[in-house]
This record gives sequence, C-alpha cells and structure tokens, in this order.
Amino acid sequence: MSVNSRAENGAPSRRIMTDFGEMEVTQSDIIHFDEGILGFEDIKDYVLISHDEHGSIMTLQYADGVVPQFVVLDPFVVKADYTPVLPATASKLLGEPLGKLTYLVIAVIKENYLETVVNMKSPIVINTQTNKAAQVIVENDDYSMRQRVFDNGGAQ
Amino acid sequence: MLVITRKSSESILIGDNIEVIISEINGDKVKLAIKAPKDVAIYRRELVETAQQNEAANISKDVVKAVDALKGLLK
Repeated sequence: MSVNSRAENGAPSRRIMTDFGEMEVTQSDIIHFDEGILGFEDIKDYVLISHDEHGSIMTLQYADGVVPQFVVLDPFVVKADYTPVLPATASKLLGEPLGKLTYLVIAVIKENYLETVVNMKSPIVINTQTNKAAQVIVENDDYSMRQRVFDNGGAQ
Repeated sequence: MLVITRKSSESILIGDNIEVIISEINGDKVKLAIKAPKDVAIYRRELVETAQQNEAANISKDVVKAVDALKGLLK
C-alpha cells in the first residue's frame, strides 16, 4: 500500500500507515537490525515514532507494516543513572563508525498502566551514525527484565 | 532441585548423552562446556526470557490509548 514519492528535500520516500496516522519515511528513517529483535528475528527494518518532545516515549514499528510494534521508553527516564555495560558482540552489530548510542527499553504494557514494566536488562541500542541497531543483553547483574516504570502504583 | 558441587574440569552427566563440564572458574564467572546431541536445544536463559518478553510487548490494540496514558503518567 505504500506510495513512492519524494520528500521536500528530494530524498526518495514512501508513506507508511501507523496507528498514529500516515507517515512519510525516507531511507534515513529506517533503523536496521542485522539480527532482528529477539523473538522477531526475521524482521530487520523498523521506524521509530516519537510521542513527546523529549523522546521519553516512542513506538518502534516494523517499517513495512503495523506489526510488530513496541512501545519503547528512554531508560534514563526510568533510571537516571542507567549505565549499561554492552557485551563484546555488540559493536559488530552496530556497524562503523560507532557514533553516539541511543538506548531504548521495551515496555510490556499492563491493563493497569501503573504496572507497566520495561526490560532494562535487554535494551535496544542504536548507533546514530549508521542507523544500525541491536537488542543486547547487558552485562550488568542488577538490571531487571521486568522493571516497574512507576514504582508507586499497584500492590506492594 | 538437585544441587551438586563441582570443581573445575569436573563434569556431570544428564541422561545417557549429555555432559556438562565445568571448564573454567574465574571469580563470579563459570565457563561451561556442554556435550549434547545436535537436536538438543541449548539457550542462554536471558535470551529466551527476553524473546518471551518481546512477544508480550508486541502491541497491536489500543496503542494510541496506551501511549497517551503512559505519557500522562510519565509527566
């Protein structure tokens, strides 16, 4: 259903459907995962849609369809001193040159939104220089796969 | 649950054709060598758990509503 067109800057672009309306994407908007995302290994290309001006909440969506789609958060919003230690294998997946790295954590949204958890142990890392990304398991022992985003909500 | 103490280079046998060898111990890290038939799947637990988490995270319904709600809560 995508329509080929040209964005204002002349770069080839196409329109994709999202739950947030139609969106125009160019090649530079595509985030490529050489190994996909765990459990979704066959899907390599995603787009990231920001939902606030700080980039604290975004959706990561398959570039050629609406599914899979993940709500992702800036981990520093959850834990201000987040300092992930990447496994040695990460750099190969992120390509060269290695530029500024952006981290995202995948949210599992619960019916009671206050119980939403994020996977701090397995962030998505994006090399902003190459737009290559990977989901990695960090070496830190103290990061939870089910970290509550809002620690004041729900049962103790 | 069975708990066994082993030293470096010792091993345990599971069934007739799986052997888990303690290949190296270094501080809080243990290197294991596993001999098993090819059809026995061996995974690091975190990978499997993350894949399951990702499957639970894949969202297709009420996405806009959820994002709006979380946005409000994050403020």
